[in-house]
Amino acid sequence: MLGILAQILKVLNSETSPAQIAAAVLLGLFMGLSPLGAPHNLFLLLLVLVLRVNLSLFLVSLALFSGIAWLLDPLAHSLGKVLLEAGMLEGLWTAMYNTGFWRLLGFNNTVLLGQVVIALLLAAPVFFAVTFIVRNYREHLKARIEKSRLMLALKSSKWGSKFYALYSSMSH
Amino acid sequence: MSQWIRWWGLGVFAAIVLVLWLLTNPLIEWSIEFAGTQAVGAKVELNSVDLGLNPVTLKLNRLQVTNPNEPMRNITEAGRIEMALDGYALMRRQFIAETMAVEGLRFATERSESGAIDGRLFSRQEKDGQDGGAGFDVGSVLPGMDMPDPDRIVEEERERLVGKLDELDGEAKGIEQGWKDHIESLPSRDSVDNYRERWSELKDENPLSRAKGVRELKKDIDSDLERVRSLDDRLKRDRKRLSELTQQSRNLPAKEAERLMAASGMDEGFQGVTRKLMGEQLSRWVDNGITGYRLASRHMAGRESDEETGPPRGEGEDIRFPEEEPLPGFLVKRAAVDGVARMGASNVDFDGSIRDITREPAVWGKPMTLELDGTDEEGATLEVDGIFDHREQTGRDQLDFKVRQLTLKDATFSGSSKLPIVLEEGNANIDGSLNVTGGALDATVNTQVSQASFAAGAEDSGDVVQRLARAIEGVSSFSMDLGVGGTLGSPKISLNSNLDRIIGKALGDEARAELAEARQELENRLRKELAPQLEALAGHQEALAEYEAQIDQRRKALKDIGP
Repeated sequence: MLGILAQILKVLNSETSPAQIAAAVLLGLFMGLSPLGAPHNLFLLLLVLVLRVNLSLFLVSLALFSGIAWLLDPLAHSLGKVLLEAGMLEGLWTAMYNTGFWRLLGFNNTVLLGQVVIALLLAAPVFFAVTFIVRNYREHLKARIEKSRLMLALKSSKWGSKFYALYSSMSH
Repeated sequence: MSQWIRWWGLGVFAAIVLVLWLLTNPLIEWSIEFAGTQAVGAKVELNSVDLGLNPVTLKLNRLQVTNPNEPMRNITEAGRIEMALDGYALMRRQFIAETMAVEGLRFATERSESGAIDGRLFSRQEKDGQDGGAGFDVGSVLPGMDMPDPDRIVEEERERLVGKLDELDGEAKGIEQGWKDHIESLPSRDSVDNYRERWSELKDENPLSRAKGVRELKKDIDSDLERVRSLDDRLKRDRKRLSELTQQSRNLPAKEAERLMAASGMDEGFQGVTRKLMGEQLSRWVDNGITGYRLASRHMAGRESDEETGPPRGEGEDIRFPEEEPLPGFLVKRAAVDGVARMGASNVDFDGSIRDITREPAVWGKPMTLELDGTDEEGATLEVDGIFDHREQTGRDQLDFKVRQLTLKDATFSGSSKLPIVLEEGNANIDGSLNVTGGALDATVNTQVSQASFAAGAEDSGDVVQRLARAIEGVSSFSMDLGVGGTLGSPKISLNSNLDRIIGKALGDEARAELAEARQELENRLRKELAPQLEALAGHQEALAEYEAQIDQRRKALKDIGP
């Protein structure tokens, strides 16, 4: 746990571009909000591994959004059901239903569709929010936090010093 | 660009895919075991699974399905199940098998270890009476042995009988209360006095006024008398009804004693003694049959509607859209089945086919059908035909079977310690029919046994039991008609057999007298227990007699005025 936290801080403090950090969170969001066994997750996993996104941040984001997905399940089901039963979309769904590729993806499952739509709706705001936070952290907060009393106290405490040592070893 | 690409990630991804591929068979095995165990409520196990890709085939080796009611026994076991799958349909998340071969199918096989399950994922509430019954002691139905305890029966039945009497009492109270109102509507003493006064005053009037006054007075009195007369008819009816209610309550203890004795197979004609002798065995057969049927039928009509409760968290609902050739999510078009059924002393080798196995018969448009034929080495034959139609909301299942020349050996009829009965040998012809429509059960199994030889061990028992044992040992042929009605959740079993008559004849008058005595004792106990309610009912009739006297009194008073 400490290791992951240190990794995250390291990424925040590194030269990694805010977009890359936001991409990691975004991939965690998409995978976390979908059921684990959903076929499109295999493609997302490929993206996670091949694209140079931060894996620690991805894992934290995956865990966080998996929990949110559990909470949002009834909403996702209702949203998916409304969309799948919408008369104006029936033609589109029918065409997709008669296509092997879409059937494999299981788009006609209420929860899966609902969660993917929620993920799509959240994608842009989350991406820009993360980018904004990282930039602001680096420009304004980083130095202040380093010098804060809390950080000084943390560094002098037993667990804090351990964590700081871990963080330092990663940083160098 | 290279700033965004992590080339070693491709290697890791390939390694993950490889591991997933290597784990495919164990994952399929685990999925089937997990889903099966959840569906059955007891362990479903597989020895191994082989998935082939070209062509797509799936082999399941040694599938065992534990009987949830008897965890040391499997409901069914299959040596090998092999199916050829439609690969394209599989990509569309549809499990379609053109053919399936089920080999080495056997039923009610012993397990080496318990298949019971427990835990958060597999918790299954045991329902009362699903453990095959508490067993039956033949001694409880035989005279001269342990007669049933009337106190216990009274204790068990008290509440119901008191309720019944309260019902009768309630009606009687209603009648009595009605009469309180009727009596108040009768002309009061004041009105009678008023008539008398008017009559006295009229006597002093001139003839013309008197004649007019008398006419009016007579009209008023006649009107009151008419009201009294109408009450006569009502009183007659209510007295009759009260008399019926009192009679019913008086007869209740005797009737109930008779019914309770008959219900326990202890009536003096010995109707149902065979049912009691075979009770444990029967309940096990029926229970196993119904358990197997319920497990199978649960998957015939697909998942029940989630309209009210919503689907389980994380699962969602698959919405269907129009297709050119709609196919269900799971379909086996034809399954060739072979196996061995242990019947009586025989191992009957059977084979046949099951067609159109699916959880969504409405989508597929065809009902599931079953055809099996079998023979054993000694010439017994088995024929089974079935059609399981769940295309409509109300499922209709029909299964017929016929067994000829089945050899029976050492079949236990009664496991009682006092009178164990074993059919040492015999030859049976069995005709069975099962019909389930919308959960309502209608099944019959008619068995004719010839060349029978019974062994009934009653060496250490009393005279009556020894006589019964000898009678049973003398039986060389008999018939049994088993009927199962009611519903799947609450089946009602009936059994008629000519063994009842044979047993009754063997036990003779002495036993009948003993049972009559037991019945009388039970009646007396019921009468004593219900005495307060019976007395209360009799009291209502007395009250009505009082009202009759009051009516007569008013009538007389009105008539005595005499204008």
